[in-house]
Amino acid sequence: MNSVSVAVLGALLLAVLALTLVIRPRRASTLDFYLAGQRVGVVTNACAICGDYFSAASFLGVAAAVYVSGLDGVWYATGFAAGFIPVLLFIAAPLRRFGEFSIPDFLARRLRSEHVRIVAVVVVQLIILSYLVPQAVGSGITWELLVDRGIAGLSPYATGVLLSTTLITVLVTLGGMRGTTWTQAVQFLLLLSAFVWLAIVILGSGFNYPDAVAELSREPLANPEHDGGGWHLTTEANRLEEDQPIIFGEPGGRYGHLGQFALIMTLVMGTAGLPHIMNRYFTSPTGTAARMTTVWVLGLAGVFYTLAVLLGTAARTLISQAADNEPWLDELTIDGVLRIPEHALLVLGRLHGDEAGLGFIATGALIAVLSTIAGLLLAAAASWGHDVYERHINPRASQRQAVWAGRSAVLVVALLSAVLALGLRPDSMTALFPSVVATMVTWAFALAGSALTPVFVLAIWWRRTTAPGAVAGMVTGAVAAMLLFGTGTVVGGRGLSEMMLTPTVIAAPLAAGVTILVSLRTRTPTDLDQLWLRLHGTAADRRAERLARLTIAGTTAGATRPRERG
Amino acid sequence: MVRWKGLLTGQNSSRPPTPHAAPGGWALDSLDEYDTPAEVDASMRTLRRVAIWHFAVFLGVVLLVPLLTVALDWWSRGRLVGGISPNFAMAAVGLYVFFFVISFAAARLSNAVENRMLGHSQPGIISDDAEPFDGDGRHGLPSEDSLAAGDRPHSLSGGDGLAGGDGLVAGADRVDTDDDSPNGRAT
Repeated sequence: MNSVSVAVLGALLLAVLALTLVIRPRRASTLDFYLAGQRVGVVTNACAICGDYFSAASFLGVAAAVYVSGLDGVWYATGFAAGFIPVLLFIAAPLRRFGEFSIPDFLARRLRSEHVRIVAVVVVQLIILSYLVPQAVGSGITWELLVDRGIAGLSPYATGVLLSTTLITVLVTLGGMRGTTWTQAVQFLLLLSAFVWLAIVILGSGFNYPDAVAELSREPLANPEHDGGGWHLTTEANRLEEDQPIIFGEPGGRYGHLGQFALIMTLVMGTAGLPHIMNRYFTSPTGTAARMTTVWVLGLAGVFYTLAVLLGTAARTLISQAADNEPWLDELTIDGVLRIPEHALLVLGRLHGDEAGLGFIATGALIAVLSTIAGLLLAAAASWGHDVYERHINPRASQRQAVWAGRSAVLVVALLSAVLALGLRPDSMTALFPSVVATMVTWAFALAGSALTPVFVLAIWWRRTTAPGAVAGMVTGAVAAMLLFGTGTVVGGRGLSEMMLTPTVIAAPLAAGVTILVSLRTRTPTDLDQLWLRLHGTAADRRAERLARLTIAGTTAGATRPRERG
Repeated sequence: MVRWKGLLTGQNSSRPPTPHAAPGGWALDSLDEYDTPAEVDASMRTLRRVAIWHFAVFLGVVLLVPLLTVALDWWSRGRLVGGISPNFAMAAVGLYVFFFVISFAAARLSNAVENRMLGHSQPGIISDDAEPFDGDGRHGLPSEDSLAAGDRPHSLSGGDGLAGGDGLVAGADRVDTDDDSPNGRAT
């Protein structure tokens, strides 16, 4: 631990906390707490979505996956970015035009069913927990490396998990969606600047990207493994050609053809079902703005993930080169290769920026974790507070009571995720998965893509979708995804079991098929035409735009008149 | 020409100015906007085709990368610059450029479809005099499951459930109340 690192970390975290306090909503309306008053602009919302989406899996996990698996690790980044294409094509604009507070709220209103709402709440909570736990794990890893000291008898890892969870819980309960939107946008810019800074100093120090890939591809890829005899480097067999070794710049390091296809489809389908990301679209002023927000997200994601892959490659090269001259790397590496791949960017930050560099990257990692946890906790709050408390427990709740219900939900879900994260030790799972954080997040994508996305897309684009169909589809998707994942974990090995570990490619078509079959045998809502007008019409968009133009014209006229008089 | 202002703001900058909103002037006029079920149904079908077509292209390109690994040895073992193979270059950089380009194209086309096909009707009149946008002759004509002109629900044109505008832009923290929710509904 170094005082410079901690000072940088503390200063940046305090700045974010101060920002949240300054822009927190003064009035306790549910529209403000959950949807930031629906007045978030395109670029701000795109940055906030990126802050929400680029979690520990993106900031630490993608570079770690590239570090461990080479080219096959790149596919995590590709899948994470690609997920916004279906969002743009099928979800963003209609979802915003229909309005509402959350995914369960949207599905319940669209299908006119409280059963749909309850089932959707259960699925959404499962997704949120699956996503929250790896974020807490990421914060524990970062604290362990940065501070390596526990508080009140706790281990460094446990201290990191509990401190980050506590901090963000306070921020979310105070700031709601409005405070969270701005802090997430600022947090994303901080994440991006951390990547840009690291890329500039690495390239400035003479690192050559193409040559590094060539150098790394000359020898088989070996990674640390722990067994009875302690830690040592081992090489795995190539997944595409059993008799060949794994090469950094070539496919086969982690996936066979089936496994790679399954991973991509899981990540592509999953994004559209992530509650914390979809809830952000409700904060856009219009459907068109929601659509254009997604274009910006794709541009920003492209820059972010391109840098993440470059940095993962640089870490593989530069850390092994530095291991002989830097004694502090001895306890982190085995023959120049990191034991925990998520340390890659943090170590790179220290190598090129000393303690301040480590502090900056560690802040980025914690910020990535905190902003995603914030989004997830808000989604949990909207789901419990609005969909359960306001609709079923206390239908006559005042605005104040509803907001407090959301805040209570934040506390409970945060506590649960911290407890689950404390039960996990990432270094014990490194041999099983390329990056434990990225892999755990993939489980959340699998559940979202299997249970929610098919029903979501059908509810938006197929008039015949019914409430019983949606319930059957969500249950089928969720159960199939969990069963397949459990079976894949137990069976292990390659081929079909790879597909089972990322089961969306099987579970999503199954869910869609069941939704269609059941829908064809049941009745659609009676006011379908009104629902369709709300979902696909642009009258509200045009009205909002006209009102905005009139407001601007009125403001301009009001500002020029006194000058003319004067 | 790329409409950067529209891209930045998400507003339909291609829409002609409304007759009531004189440039630089400030007139309190009616904010009523209308979509008919037939128009919405036709534009939805066109947008659905746009979405499915773009998704097919997207999926085809993404899946082409691993497929070429099987088909072409050069794809994974050839070298473009240093040790970077075409496969590596595509996965590490090329696909992100492709994602941005296809998303930009799809968004512009979708916005154009909506601008062209929606928002031209007067209250109570189904617009059937416009040219069909996608050549299938469906535009402006009632589809098999759409409402007739007279069945257009008045509640949707009067700014009740749909009128998010005044709560959205002008700064009022308005929550539209719903018949079954005392806490209101976001619109």
